[in-house]
Amino acid sequence: MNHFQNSEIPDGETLFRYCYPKAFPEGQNEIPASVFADLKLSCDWQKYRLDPQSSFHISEGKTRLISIQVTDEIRNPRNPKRSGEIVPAWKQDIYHSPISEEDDPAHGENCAHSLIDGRKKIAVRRALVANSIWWDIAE
Amino acid sequence: MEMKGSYLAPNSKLSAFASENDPQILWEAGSYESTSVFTENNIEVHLNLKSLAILELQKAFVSLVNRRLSYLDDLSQLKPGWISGAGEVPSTSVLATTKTLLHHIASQANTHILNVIPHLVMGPLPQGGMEVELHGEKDIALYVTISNDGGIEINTEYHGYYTALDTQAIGIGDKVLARYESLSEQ
Repeated sequence: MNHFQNSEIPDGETLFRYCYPKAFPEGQNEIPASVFADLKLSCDWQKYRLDPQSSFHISEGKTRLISIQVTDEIRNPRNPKRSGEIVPAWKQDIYHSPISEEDDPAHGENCAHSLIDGRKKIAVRRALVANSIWWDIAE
Repeated sequence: MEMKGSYLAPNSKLSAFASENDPQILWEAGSYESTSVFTENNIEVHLNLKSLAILELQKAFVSLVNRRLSYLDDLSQLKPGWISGAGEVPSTSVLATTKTLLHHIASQANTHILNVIPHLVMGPLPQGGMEVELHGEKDIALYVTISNDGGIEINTEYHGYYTALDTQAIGIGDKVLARYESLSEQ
């Protein structure tokens, strides 16, 4: 399959993130902003992962699925202190970053792998929370 | 005497929302109606609805905080790789500091009338650590980020305005609550 490494993912696309349900308090419905704190936020692009249940993460028990809608609010968070201007330090690069079998021999190739790359200050993470939903899927 | 949210006077300014069956409440300053009850000896006693409702709701909040303390105990069993990407587990030190913070919040809610009872959201950090979110009304929130590397950051959100404050674990409970109270009084 041909992939365009590092190609930008456009607005409106969906990204999947997987986690253990027990990492979070039982009964807490809200997505904590903490789950979006990594500099290079690893996820799968729905374009290449039509069925999120097909991921190796599911068989490893990461059955809490976070679905992120790509928006300009995430890509270019704005600072209301400065009349809503874009803050360069908060900017996120959202791109396709497929993993080869050599990169990850344990899990094999992941054509859907993508990254949300940039410092995740709380304003950025709140934008991610606002554009995400989560739910548990059967293993 | 058992009090529930439904006992509130219809014209009360109290506004409640429920999460996982725990009543959590945010209120505005204002006047509230009192009510009368009769004791077993048929003596009429006047009660202030606001005080009773707040005490009951704070009790429910303390109960929620205690369940979150149990969650932190369970979190010590979390395995690395708990989320796509890295998924570092919170260190023993981070879990202890987070518990200290929650114990302090529960203690204050047990002994004081809180200005605003916050909505509590928690979760681990993929790079190692814990974050506690205390949400008030109308985009008012406080985020306490406790990292495995020893760093503690308090971020405040006030109607979309964010402010960061680096701090230390010593006295974290007082610092967080003071910060939260000042936000909710603005």
